[in-house]
Amino acid sequence: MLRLRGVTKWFGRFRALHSVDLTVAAGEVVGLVGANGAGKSTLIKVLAGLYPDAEYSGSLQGERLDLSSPVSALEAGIGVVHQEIDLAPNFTVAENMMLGREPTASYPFGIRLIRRRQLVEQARKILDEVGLGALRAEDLVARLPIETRQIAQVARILALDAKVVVFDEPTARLSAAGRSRLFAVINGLRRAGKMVVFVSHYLEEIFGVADRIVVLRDGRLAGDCKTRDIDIPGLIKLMLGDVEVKPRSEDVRKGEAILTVRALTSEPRFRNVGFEVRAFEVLGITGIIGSGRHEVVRSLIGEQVARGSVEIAGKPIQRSSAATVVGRHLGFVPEDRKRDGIIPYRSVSDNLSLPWLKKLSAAGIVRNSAVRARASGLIERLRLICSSPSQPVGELSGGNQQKAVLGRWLGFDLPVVVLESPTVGVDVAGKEEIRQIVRSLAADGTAVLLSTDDQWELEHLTDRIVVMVRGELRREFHTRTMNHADLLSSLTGIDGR
Amino acid sequence: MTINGAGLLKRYGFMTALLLPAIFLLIVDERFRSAQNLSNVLAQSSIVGIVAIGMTLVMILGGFDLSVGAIAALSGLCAVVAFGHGDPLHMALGVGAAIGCGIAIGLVNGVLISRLAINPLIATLAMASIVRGVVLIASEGTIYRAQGDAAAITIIALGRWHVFPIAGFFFIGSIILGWFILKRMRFGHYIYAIGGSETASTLAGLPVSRMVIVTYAIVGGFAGVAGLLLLARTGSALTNAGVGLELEAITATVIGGTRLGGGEGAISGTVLGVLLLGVIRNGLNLNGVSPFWQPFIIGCILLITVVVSRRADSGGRRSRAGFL
Amino acid sequence: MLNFEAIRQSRTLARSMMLVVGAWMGLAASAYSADYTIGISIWDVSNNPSSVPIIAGMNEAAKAADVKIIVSDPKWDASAQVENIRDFVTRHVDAIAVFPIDVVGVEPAIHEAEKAGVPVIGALGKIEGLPYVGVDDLEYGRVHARLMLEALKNIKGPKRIGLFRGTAGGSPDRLRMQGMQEVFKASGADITIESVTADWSPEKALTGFQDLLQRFPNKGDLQLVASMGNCMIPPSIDWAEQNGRDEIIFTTMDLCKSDVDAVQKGTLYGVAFQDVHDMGKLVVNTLVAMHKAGDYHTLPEFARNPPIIVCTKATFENCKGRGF
Repeated sequence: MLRLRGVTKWFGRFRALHSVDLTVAAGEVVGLVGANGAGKSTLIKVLAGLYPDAEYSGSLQGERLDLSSPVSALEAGIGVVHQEIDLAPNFTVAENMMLGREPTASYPFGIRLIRRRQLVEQARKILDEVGLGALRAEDLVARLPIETRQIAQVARILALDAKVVVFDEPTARLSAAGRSRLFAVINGLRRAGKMVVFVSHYLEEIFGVADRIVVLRDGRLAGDCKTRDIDIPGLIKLMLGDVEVKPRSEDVRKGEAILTVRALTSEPRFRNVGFEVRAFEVLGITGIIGSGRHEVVRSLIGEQVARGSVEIAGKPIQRSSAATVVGRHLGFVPEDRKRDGIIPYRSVSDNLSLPWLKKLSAAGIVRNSAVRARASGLIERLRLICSSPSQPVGELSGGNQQKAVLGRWLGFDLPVVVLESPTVGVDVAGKEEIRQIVRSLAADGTAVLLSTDDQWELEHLTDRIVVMVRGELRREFHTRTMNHADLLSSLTGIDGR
Repeated sequence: MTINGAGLLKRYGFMTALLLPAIFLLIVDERFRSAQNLSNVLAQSSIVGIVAIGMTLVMILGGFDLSVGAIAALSGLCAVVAFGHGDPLHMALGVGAAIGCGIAIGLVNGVLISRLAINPLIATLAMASIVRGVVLIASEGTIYRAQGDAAAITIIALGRWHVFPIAGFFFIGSIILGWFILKRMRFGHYIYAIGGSETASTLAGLPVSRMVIVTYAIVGGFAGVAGLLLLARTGSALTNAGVGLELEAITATVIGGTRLGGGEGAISGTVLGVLLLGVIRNGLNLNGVSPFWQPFIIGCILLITVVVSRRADSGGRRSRAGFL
Repeated sequence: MLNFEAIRQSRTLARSMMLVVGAWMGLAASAYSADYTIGISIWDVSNNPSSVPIIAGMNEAAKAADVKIIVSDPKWDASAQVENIRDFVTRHVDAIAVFPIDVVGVEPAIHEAEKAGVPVIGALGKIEGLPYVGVDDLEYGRVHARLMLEALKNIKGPKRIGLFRGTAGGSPDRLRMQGMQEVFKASGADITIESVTADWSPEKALTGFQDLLQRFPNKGDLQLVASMGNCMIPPSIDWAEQNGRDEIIFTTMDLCKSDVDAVQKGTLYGVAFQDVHDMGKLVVNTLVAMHKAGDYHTLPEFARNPPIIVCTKATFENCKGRGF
């Protein structure tokens, strides 16, 4: 049994965790939920030994827990499967599993050589023990698809004799097939008597796999109960406290076609894609991995080459590079906001004004007063939480960072805005706020293209949805009147159309 | 307990720490504080200083330029050839030739790095070699001297206006120009943005390629001015002029707090770094310490400042490695 | 785009490349000339202006005698010079002339050459066991020292001399220094030498000189400043003048054109030099003569004891019209 009591962590004056308790029994899966900023990731990092200055008292199977460094956490038997895969891509699965503990043969003069055959055998043995026998130990990690890599990561943790396995948002990038594989693995861990902690935003998954659910809110323990004793609405209430989820406005005007895509083709990724987005509307474009959806959007903004035409307000636009499209004709919010969206060291106000510096300067010199005015206006309008407009944007929470990237494109009447999964990784309250921002954007007359595979976004943000399957645009739905089962099946191309 | 407060203190405390040796020497060594000597220190630091200003820009962008020394040598050669016998028209032509040569090579660097996606280390290293080759081929190993009235060019490197060295004016001009570009101009904002995250800047529609080319051209221009000053020190274009200049400039810039990954840095820090190096050199010389100790001591200072500034960075910042 | 991976692994490509390399080597081997060919390895061709007139002299003499010369550039790197010599041996030149960077370091390469039957002579630097053409660096240093003593004859008491040095570790610098110190010691005069690390560079010499003046700011602290050669002195003479230190006496070795002007003006006391252009001719002519006589061990009469010329204002005709 894992027992953690009174976990407390300060970041300067800010208390991220306030005396949180966590217990996990052997063979038990505990789901850890909470809004962003509730302290989930902080708690995980404490478990991983990344915060030596955290206060806690705890024991694992009777022995005192030492989480003063990642090494001591590992030695204690705690393994964390992070969102980022941290395997060496140029090694095989077996080599990764046995990294640092390779079986060696000793020779004179202190020379030790790795015994390859034994390495693979030992790896296979561990894999079989936890029901991961399907994973091929000799495969090179670089050649594996991302879902399999994640499972290989689990294998590595098990090879290190982990007794506790923590999954940090593991399903974010997985397909449905990948998800079921993962859950099978977790069931296998449960049967092997491991202690599992499963962190996720996807409440349906938590209900599907966890025995118990622990809820964090604002750094404190807000709930700890068996899964069968609670339902989703009850869980959301615990997570949010008092946030109202506003119903979607039924009143949606439609204007003329602003963004028109014709015969967009880039073999072999996608071909003959054509659609239009009208003023005042949000068009969702969706499709699973490999459908070409991502590439279509990237071609639209000029980052990738594609034949065909893209017109804005009837005029074809030049797409030779992102610089000729983004900022000039449309705004773009990329899905990986940390890597591709924000400029972390620059202030909130700088990030908000980034594409508009030309308009906010005179003779090449930036008018700071104009930048500041824009920033304060947007911060208020978007309810962006920051200590001041000059705070580096990298210090903000995920939801606020996303607001900063979104806010970049407001205020200069761009006819089109393209969004990639804008609410992924954002907490429930933040999701709602972003939804309102997007809808108000559309209400102002902007044509919004939303590229996503997140069900919540498709349901709550869009007016129409087009579905891409294996490189072609297959179907169109009207969000309000569509059948959800229909949508899901069209994504996998099951309906054959 | 405010970590932010402590972080701020560490940041600015660190900058003041750079001034400590100078303050110490000013109090203790009367030879150091003589106007003549301070003027010398400033003049000797000016050449590295001008290059370091340019280097700051390109390092904030996320790259660096190893060809500045070679550019300085070539610029000096172009200038001295254009000077002819020193009539005002030719002198002006020579100055223009030096700066123009620097800008031209900088443009080539910029194109190699942005359009051909060559790593700045390799691109500027190769250009350094090529440009040095051009210097040797063009001069055939001989020293080109400023002829006739043109010999008066030495005044810009060795002359003084009252007590203030004329070379110092060039340095100050560069500082003002560098500061203006970085802090006031839109171009400077772009440099910081691209250095902070090249992909985010690209996807926000910034003309990244063009900015990179222009930045390297600017460094080249600064190197050209430095080459002019180098020429003026001896009145001759030496074939090995500026050897080691790039490393000195990078050292000063890094000591001054500019990160080697881009996105952060300031002219003020670089100026302090340049002056620190100049003061240390001068202090050692005045006290008869063998010049063989200099590289050793400067290397130690570089390490110490990098370690200290790492500690001063508070949490919330991700460390970023990588080249532009 | 080229599939580099495939190219790298292609066997046929590897084979055809070997063929090309083999053919090239064969061609190179067969390209030896029927002419009498001399291989020459001279200190540093790119950054050493005194090399230029030497090579010009060698070319002149080679043309007149209808022989071929090949000049390699070791850039003040003793190990590169060893490679030069080895290279010449492989190419089967008829004779080798070495201007040694390190007289001891080249010995193994010289043995190799002798074993292969290629005769070697030392030029402007005495190599043990080899015939030597040129002025002896030791004697050179001695003559310069005598010149310095003459310049200082009116000054009583302990004297301090600044000396611009060449690249440390090289034989020219070491042996000249040795010769100077011999003469100083024998004279019984109380002389302190302040070495300035100048690496044969006029610019570094100037910086070092400025530092010297800062260390010894009062008139009379520093009596004389001398240079090992390579035209390092003139910028420092100008600087001394501009800074009110014209009481300092200057002497130098190796004559360059600026030195000639300075002697005429009286700002440079004197120069001890060898006519480098003549030396170049001498090297080639000596080898040709030895070849004709069939004896590479005996120095022909005309090559013995070439003059070290001293030129002061009083003996100006000695340096008039000369200098590189």
